[in-house]
Amino acid sequence: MLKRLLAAVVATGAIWAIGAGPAAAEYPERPIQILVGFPAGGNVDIAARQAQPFMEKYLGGSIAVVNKPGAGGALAYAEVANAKPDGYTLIMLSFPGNWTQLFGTEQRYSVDSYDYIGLLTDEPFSIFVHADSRFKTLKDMVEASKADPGSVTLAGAGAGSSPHLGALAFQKAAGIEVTWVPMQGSANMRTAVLGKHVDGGVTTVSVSVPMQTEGQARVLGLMAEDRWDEAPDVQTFAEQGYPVEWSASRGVAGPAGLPEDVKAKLVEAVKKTYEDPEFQALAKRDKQILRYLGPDEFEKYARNQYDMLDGMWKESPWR
Amino acid sequence: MEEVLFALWHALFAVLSWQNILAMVFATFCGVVIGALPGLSATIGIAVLIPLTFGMDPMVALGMMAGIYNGSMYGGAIPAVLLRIPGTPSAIVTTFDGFPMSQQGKSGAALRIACISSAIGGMVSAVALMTLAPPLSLVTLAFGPTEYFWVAVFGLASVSVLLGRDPVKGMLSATFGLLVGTLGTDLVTGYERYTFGILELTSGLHIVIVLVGLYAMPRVLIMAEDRIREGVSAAALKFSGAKLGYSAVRRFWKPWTRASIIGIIVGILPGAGGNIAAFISYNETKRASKDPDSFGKGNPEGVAAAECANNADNAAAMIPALTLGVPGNSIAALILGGLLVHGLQPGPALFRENADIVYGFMIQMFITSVLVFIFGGLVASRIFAQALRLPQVMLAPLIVGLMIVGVYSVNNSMFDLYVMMIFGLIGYAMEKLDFPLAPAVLGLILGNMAEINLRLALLIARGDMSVLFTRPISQVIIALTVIVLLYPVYTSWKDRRKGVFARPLED
Repeated sequence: MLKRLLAAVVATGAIWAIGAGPAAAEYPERPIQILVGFPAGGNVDIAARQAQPFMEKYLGGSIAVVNKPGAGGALAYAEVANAKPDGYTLIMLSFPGNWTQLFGTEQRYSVDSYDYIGLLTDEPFSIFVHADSRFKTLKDMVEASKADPGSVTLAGAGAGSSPHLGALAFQKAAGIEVTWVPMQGSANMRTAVLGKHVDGGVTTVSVSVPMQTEGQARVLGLMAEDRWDEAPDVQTFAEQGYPVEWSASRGVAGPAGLPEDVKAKLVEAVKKTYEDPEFQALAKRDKQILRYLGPDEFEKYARNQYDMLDGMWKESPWR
Repeated sequence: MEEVLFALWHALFAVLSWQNILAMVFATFCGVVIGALPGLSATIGIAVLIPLTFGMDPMVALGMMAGIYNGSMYGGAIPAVLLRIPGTPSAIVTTFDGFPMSQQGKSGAALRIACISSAIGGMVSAVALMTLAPPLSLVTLAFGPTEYFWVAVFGLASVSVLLGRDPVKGMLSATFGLLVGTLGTDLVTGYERYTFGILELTSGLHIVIVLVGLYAMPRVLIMAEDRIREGVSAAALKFSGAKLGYSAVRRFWKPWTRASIIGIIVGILPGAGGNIAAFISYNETKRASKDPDSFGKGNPEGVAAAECANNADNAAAMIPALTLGVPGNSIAALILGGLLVHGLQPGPALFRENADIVYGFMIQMFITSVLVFIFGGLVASRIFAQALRLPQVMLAPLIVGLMIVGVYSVNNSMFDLYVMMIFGLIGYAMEKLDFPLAPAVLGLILGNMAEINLRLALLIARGDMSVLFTRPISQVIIALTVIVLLYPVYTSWKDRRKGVFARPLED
C-alpha cells in the first residue's frame, strides 16, 4: 500500500516533469508496473531496478518496480499472466525458476501466458568448494563420489529449485550420486560451505567468483558454454568432460495479447536499455552478465527451457 | 587494533557531514514511528527505503538504513507497553512485563526503561561490531545445522517460562504454534504441507502477519467491548515523571550485561533474530532473579532484558554480513542488498577497498543507537502515548487501519489480510479461553528452525544420529538446555528439603 502510494506520487511528479506530455491516446499515458516475484534487495529485484530508469528514459513514461514475493515468484507470475494485456502490467521473469514452479502442482499460468519482450541477463551456475577443500577439480569430486556414492554433499536451495536442477544435471552427466542439502536462502548455503559443514555449494557465478577472488572459496567449474572474462582461469564443466550448461536468466514479459504498437515500444525500450553504455557499465560493476534476446528469440528460448525441464521431469521428477 | 582505530577515526569525518547527520536523525525518528505501528517492521521500512536510496550517496543511504533499523527495534516496544500489541516481532517479550507495568499506571517508567535499554543494547552491539567483527565472524562459521538444531531446542526449552497459570493450556498453545510452523513447502522433498492447493500458502506464513493477527486483533476487539471507557489520564503517561538515576544503573546493569551478550551471540548466528534473543534473555533474567514470580506481573527488569537484547541483536547481525557476506537476520540481508545496489560487494574486500563506508556504517549504528535514546522518549510520550488518551472506542478502528496497511505492505497481497483476520479470530478465542499467546509464537518461530536443521544435519551425516551429540559446540548447548530444564526441578527439590528440615523444628 505504502509502496504503491509512493510509486504513484513519484510517478505523478515524473509525468508533470515531462511537461505537456504525449497526446492522451499514446502509450504510456500512466505509470507502468513491473512486478518482481521476490523481495526488495534480492538479485531479481536489483536486475529490475537497474533496468527501470533506462526503460523509463526510452519509453518516455514512468515505471514502478513492485515486489510481490511468495511461492518462489509464482504469485507474481500468475498475477501478470492473468492481468489485462494493456502494457501497464509487466513481469520480470526469472528462468528457470519460473517454469520449475509449473511441475507437480496446479498450474495458474503457462508458457503461453506471456508476450515475451526481451531477455536482459543470463548468468551461469557454478559449483564451489572451501578454499582448503580436498577437491581441486570436478574430477576429484566425481571420483570421491564414485568411490562412495552419496558421500559428497552439495548445498543449495530447496528441492526443485534452479540450483538443485543444475546439480541433478551434473549428476546425470557424470554418472554419480551426491547428497543434496537444501538450505533456506543463499546466506545459509554460503555459511555451510565456508564453515565446512558441506563439501560444496551450487550457485550463480556472481556469488561464487567473488568468494574465490577473496581466497575464501574455489570455483570448480562454470555450467556454461564459454569461460567468463571476469574469471578467465575458471574452467567450464564441458572442458572438464561433463557437458552441463545451466544458468539463471532474467527478462521482461507482459501478459499475452499486448497490442502491436505497445509491444513494439516496449521491445524498443528494452533493446535500447541493453545497448545503453551506462547500463552496460552498471552491469559490469555488479558482475551481472548481460545477454539480449529480441522478442522472437526470447520466446523460442523460453519454450526451449520449458521443453527441457519437461523432459527432465518426465525422466526423473524432482519432487 | 590500531588499524581499526585509524580507520574509524578516518571514517568519522565522512559520517559527520551535515547531510549524513540529517539522514540519521530523520531515519531514526521514522524508524521509531515505523516500529511503533503494528505490522510495519524494520524489514518493511528498509525494503521501502532501498529503492529510494538509488540516487543517494552510499554513506547517506546506509545512515538512513541504520537509523530505521535501530529506531524501529525500539519503536516496537511502545505499543507493546501501552497496548500489549508488539509493534515488531522482537517486541513480543516486551509485552510480558511492559503491559502489566502500564496497567499499574507506570507506562512512563516502562517506556523509559525500554528506551534506555534499547539504546544501551544498540551501543554495546555497535562497539562489538567495530572491535570484534573478524574474530566473531568465525563463530558464525562454526555453527552448522547440528548446532542450529540445538539452539532451537534450547529456545523451545524456555517455553516453560511462558506457560502461564495453566501449563496444559500453555503446552496446547505451543503445539498450535509448532503446527502452524509446518505449513508451507517442505524444503527437503518439495512436498506441500497443509496448503490445500492454495498457491499463497506454499511459502508458509510470514511471521509479521500471524503476529499482528494473534496479538493485535484480540486487543482491538477487547477494546471495542469496553464501549465507553475513558482514555488514560495525561498524568499517567508523563515520561519525565519516571526518574531513573544511579540506583537504576545499579539495578539494571546485570540484566543489561546479560542481555547484551545474549543479543550479540544470537545476532551473529544467521537465522536467529531479535525475537529469539529477547526470549532467551528474558528467560535467563527471570532464572537469575531472586524473585522470579514477579516476572510477568510488571517487573521492570523483564522490560530491560527484552529490549536490551533485541537491540543488541542489531549491529551484531551485521558482523557476519559485512565480514562474510552472510547476513545474521532478514534486515541485515536487506541492508546487504542495499550495499549491492551501490556496487559494494560484502566480504573481506569491503574492509580493504571501502573502509570509510564499512567503518562509517559501524559508527552510524552507534550514533543511531544514541539517537534512539534522545528521540525514543520524545516520540513515545509526545506522539504515541497521547493516542491512549483517546477513548478506546475511537482508538480501536485506528489500530485496525494501521494493521491493514502494515500487513498488506509485507507482500503487497490481499490474501495476507484474510490470513491476519483468521489468526485474529483464533487469537481472540485463545484470549477469551485464557490460553497464553507467547508459547504459540515461540513454537512458530523455533519449531520450523529445529525441524529443518535436524533434517539437514541427518542428511549431511547420511542418517547417522551420533552427529547430533559428538560436536563440542552442540554438547555445550545440550548441557545448557539440560540445566534450563532441570533448574526448576532442583529449586523445588531444594525448597521441599528446606521444608522437611524446617517442620520438625516448628512442631
